[in-house]
Amino acid sequence: MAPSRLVRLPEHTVEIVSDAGEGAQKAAIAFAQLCAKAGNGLWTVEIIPSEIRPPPHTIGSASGNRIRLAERSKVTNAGNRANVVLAFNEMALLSRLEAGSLADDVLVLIDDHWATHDDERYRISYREVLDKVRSRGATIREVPLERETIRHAEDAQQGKNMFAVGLLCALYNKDMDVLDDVIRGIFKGKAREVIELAVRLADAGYQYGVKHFEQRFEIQAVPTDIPKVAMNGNTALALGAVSAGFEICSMYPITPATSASHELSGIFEDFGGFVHQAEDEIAAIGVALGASYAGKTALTITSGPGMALKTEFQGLAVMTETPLVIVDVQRGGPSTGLPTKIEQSDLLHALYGAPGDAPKVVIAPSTIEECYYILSLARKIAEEFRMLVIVLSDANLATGQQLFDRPDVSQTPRRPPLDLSPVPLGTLPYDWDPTTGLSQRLIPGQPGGMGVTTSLNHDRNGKACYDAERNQRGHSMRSRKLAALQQSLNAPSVHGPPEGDLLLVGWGSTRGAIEEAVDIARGEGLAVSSVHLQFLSPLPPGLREIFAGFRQIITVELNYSDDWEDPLITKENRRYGQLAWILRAATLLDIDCYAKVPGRPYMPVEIMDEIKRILGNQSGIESPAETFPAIAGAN
Amino acid sequence: MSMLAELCVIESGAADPHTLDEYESETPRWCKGCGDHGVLAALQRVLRKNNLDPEDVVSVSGIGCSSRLPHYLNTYGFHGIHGRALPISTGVRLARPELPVVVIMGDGDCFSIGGNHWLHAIRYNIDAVVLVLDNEVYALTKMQVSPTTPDGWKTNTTPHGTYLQPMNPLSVVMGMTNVSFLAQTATWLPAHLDETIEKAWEHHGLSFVRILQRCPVFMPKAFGDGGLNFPVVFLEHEDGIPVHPLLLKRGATRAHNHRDINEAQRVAVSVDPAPMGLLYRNPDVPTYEEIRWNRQERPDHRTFVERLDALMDRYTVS
Amino acid sequence: MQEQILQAVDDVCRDQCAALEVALAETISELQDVLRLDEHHRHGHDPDQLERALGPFAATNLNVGSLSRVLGAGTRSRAMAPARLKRVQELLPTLGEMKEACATSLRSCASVDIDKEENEIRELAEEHLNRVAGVLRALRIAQLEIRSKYVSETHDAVFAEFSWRQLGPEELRLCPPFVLIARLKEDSSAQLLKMMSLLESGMPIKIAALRSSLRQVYASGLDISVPPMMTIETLPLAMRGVYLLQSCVADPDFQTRLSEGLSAPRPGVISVLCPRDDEEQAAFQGRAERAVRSRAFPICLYDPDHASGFVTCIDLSANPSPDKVWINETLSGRDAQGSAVEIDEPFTFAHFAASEPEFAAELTAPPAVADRLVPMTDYLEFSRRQRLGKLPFISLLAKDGSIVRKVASPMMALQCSDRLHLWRTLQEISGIDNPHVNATRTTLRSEFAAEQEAQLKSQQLELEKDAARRERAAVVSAVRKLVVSLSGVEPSDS
Repeated sequence: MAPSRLVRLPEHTVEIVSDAGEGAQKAAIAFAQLCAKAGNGLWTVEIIPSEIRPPPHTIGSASGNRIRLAERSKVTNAGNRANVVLAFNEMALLSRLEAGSLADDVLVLIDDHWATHDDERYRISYREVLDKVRSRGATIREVPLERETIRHAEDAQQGKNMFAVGLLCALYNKDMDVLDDVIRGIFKGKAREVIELAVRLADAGYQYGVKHFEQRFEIQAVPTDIPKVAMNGNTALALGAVSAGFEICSMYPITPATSASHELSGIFEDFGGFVHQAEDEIAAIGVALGASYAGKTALTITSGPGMALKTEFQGLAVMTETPLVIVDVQRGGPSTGLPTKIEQSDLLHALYGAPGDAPKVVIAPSTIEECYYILSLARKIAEEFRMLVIVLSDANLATGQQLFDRPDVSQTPRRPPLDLSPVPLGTLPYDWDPTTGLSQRLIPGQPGGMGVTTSLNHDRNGKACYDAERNQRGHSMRSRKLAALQQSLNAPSVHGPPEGDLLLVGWGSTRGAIEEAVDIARGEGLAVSSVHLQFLSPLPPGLREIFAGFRQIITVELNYSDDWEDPLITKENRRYGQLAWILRAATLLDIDCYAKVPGRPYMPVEIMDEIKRILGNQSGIESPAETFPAIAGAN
Repeated sequence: MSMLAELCVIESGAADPHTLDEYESETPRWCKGCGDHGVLAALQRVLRKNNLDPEDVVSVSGIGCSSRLPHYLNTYGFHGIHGRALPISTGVRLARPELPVVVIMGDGDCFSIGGNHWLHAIRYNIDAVVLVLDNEVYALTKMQVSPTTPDGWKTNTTPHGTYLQPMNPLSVVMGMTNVSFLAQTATWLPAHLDETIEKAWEHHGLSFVRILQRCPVFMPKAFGDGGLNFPVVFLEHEDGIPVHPLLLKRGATRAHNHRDINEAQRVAVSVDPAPMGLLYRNPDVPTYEEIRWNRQERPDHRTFVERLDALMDRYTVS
Repeated sequence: MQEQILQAVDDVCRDQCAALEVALAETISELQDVLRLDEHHRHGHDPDQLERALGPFAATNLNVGSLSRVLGAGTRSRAMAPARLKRVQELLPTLGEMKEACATSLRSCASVDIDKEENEIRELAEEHLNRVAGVLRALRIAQLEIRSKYVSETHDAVFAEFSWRQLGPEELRLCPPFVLIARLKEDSSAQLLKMMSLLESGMPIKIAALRSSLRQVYASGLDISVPPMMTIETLPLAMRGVYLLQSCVADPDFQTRLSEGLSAPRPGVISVLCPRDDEEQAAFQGRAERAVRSRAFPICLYDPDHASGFVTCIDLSANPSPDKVWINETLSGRDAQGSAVEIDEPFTFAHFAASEPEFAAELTAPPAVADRLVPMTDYLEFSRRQRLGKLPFISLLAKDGSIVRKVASPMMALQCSDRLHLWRTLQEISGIDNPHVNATRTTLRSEFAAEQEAQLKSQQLELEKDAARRERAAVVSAVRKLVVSLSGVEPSDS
């Protein structure tokens, strides 16, 4: 056979899918580690079946992983449609096709076992799916996964995945010796025969690939000395909670937040903390608030439906000025919605959900790395400002895995001990600084600081009061803390030139896809830049100045907005995406939005398409500032 | 904290014993004749008797007339939201297990909106004194039916009389796993009330006390005109709540073994005459705080950083 | 003989010192936290500290200098008062030294012999106790400082004059004990008096009263009656605040009780039966059990802190059959004629003494004429007149299987009587048995019997009435049937 052709590419996206329980995930982990060791940048996403035990060989059963590997060290998002898919059966392949995640010209590696299966239904289904895929432009390469695996192992179900990894190792021209090490590492602790079998199978797959693949891919890597870690956002939050010095995390199970609590439950006790599973969402935040009130700022982790239940307590935290940190790992809504899917639609709830005026800090990490660091910031602000801090993550960050620089643990600061010092005579429980609204927190045990902390409106003495003046004052003091914080915020930096035709504004996990799209667009000569907000409340300063440099501004966010094309939708009744809504109000500019709810991350190519569409239509539009004349006196 | 260090704290405590007014904050605003006054006074006496520093006690309440109590008690108090005093108390106990906590709730606060937390708090057996001031009505919001409102009574939301039989909270408490202390008393039996709260304070675990109380404004005829015509039986035991001879004109006594859970369950189900005193006590049920905190110690900073480093190794891809 | 005791003392000492060390270590750490907190109040809002606390995420978003200015305004005023700071800083090295001492000087709790001069003993005890009190004083001060409750005006005076007398019972429980060793002689009166004198001071010392022989010497010419001398077992009657433990290896909980006794927060006496210098462990175990069984060495525990009533504080439960006076043994052997015979012999002090070498002279062969012989247990119950001319004897099983009799000397009889009276006294004061209890028992029994009888009587009456009624009804019904069958007509119901 002629030696295979090596195609050099900057990046590739490969999906590995099988029935649940067949080990596609393990294969993917092995392949990802192999690429990481070689120095590739990676972003991986789990493909999760929606039920716990779906019937095998069906669309609902597809389980596996998507891996995006690149030359550059940083891969910031899950990428566009997959270039390669390795499927253990045709239904798994079909599920990926219907999810819209395969490129038309995808290379399909599929187990040919079903082509000649005894059961006619499988044979028919196999042919039909392959025909369908082929008709869209895919290249099919049938590989003997089952057949080859049985030659080495008794149970094909328990070995196919290793053969598959070997295949991929060959397909991407990676080093088999390194794969050998990786497999031994993954199977560490298992019986020797199991490990040896796994290695044998992988080698067999590799040999097969080297022998039979006419075309192989080279995604060369830039090896680096900087140690890297790979983890998903929920694990990063858990480790971040430990490093932030929390001692108590109180939660109630809810998808997709629970895995963070699982991680934390396993490690927390070594660090002097523990996870408390409460009887419901309300009790979870109640325990966290009680612990915070008693002096140990606590954490609660939840998702959308849990946030709704916690709303009254959020108001209590704000009214009593008790520091508290809530992590909301957002998911598809409304109501039960899409529990395992990706969306960013809790922003308005986080900002305004509690009844009455309840100003609070809302921040959103935009990468998995930020998930690790953000809890230190959240806790510090909560304690110094006596505020509720809501951290908005989402299922994308929660389940995706990314490589990032290993945090320098030696820099973990030592948190100050509990302050039980006596309270000087005459100190008031709400000793508001008239400018900033800040006041010293008194905790139980401090001599001389006794008094009631009440959910009723109160004055500086903490006493309940009902008159107009003191109600106004209380509101004003709680509100100005946001302004005090805002004064210390930096204006966000612009990704790209400070002036241009279009500015994309994002928040949360869309950063990677937005910036990638912007880079490609600029590469094609389009004048587009982007800005990413991490503080949503208070909003950072300088937004109007930044926006003034562009002809048009749109937000790119994963939540719902009405379609302009819809005949019923007019300028007066159109519902905007959530960040767009906020920014319109804050800046008085006609900011539009690209806001949809596909339940999966945006692909850079989708955003690219939208950029082109907008710029294509732009010729008639003046500066956005002119559509809403500025209100007299506004800055 | 080790036992020896704790002892040193207790021993060095009493420089000057505290006076009763040190536990008073502002003048209570409850109606004249309201039983809440008695409960406040009883609590203050217990704190003084045990010579506790006011800054070391935390009182937590929900929403309702009785939940105003933390405003009038000079300790650290948390007047929270309706039905949620118990989760907040659990948080306080978990964070600062060295601080005693007293929880004050009303019947609607605890049995209705707070029902879920009530059930689970018994099972957690947090070490706290939990007083439910049961006046069988929602008084603060001006007379709505509560889960314990007697059969047929007219309230603003049941103007033709209540539709359901009142619940019996005593049998609910006795039916929950890990129950460790249950007592019932009434505000019109002040000596008994004092002794009951004292007993509840001594117990290590969740001391659940139901205090029957007549609201003079909205339910003046309740409990047989405020106890005058309300059949009670006083449970008696060597270790139980002592029955003052004067109380005997209100009701007879009955010997009761509060260590026997079956006997306690039988008594809990009976409502007429109302059993007053200690229904059940088991000092050996571990508290949730002990269970959680006994599992681990806080590492010093160096060990903390070392362990975090080792943890990070698990995720490092070399 | 005293190795076992010294070992136990050493163990207790080691545990207490370890606990003290732990408490000191924790307290030192908490004090260091107080200093760290002060540092945080002074500098925690400096830009570099703030930056570190906020973490890398903050770097891009926040202007740390500006935030430092906003936050720093109030907190410097929360720094500790200089006086308090100085006190805390001076406490730390002191506590550190004490922690070292726990592992070294405090740890070596040597015990002192009671034969030393009483003044010397008192001095040594005070010194030891005050050394421990010093540690606890430092801990108390430190804990007050940690909780910000140290008030110079009040506490300086309190702690200036601080000795072991200020310690509470729970604290005393955790102090390494000061132990006096007393080897009791056959005539122990003088020693007991010295012990009482030392115990009266109230110092929480522990006196280990050791002996391997149970022979008592009495002044001669005493009638068989209750001797006037002190016994160690009735110490609680005279000194109700003194902890008493009398025990030996026959008690399965011996080691535990020993440790508890050594840690009691009050003066205590621990009386132990020890093996002879060259006695084997197995032999000693048997001897100890016999001593306990014969009431020669009753196991007593008196813990004044156990309960509020005297009776509840005395515990005889470790003795076999505490409700009985003597425990019976069945001797199966051959009598003088050679025929097999079984006799029930109560196991008295004399029976125990029969196997002890120091009592060899007190048990002799009986005279040929047997009419003056009287069993020991009976002899002890006789009045003075009845005893005249009688010789008390006990029956023993000899090595060859025959049952022999031995006559007890007057001294032996005296000691038996003494022990019997003591055992009865112990039973009564521990509430096991006394005339009042018996009287109540009898009264209850007769009351109960009377009640039963009354009930039976009334039931009988009821039955008779019922029987009479049925009889009448049966007659009426029979007559009616007869009428019907004879006349064919149903009689009216009148």
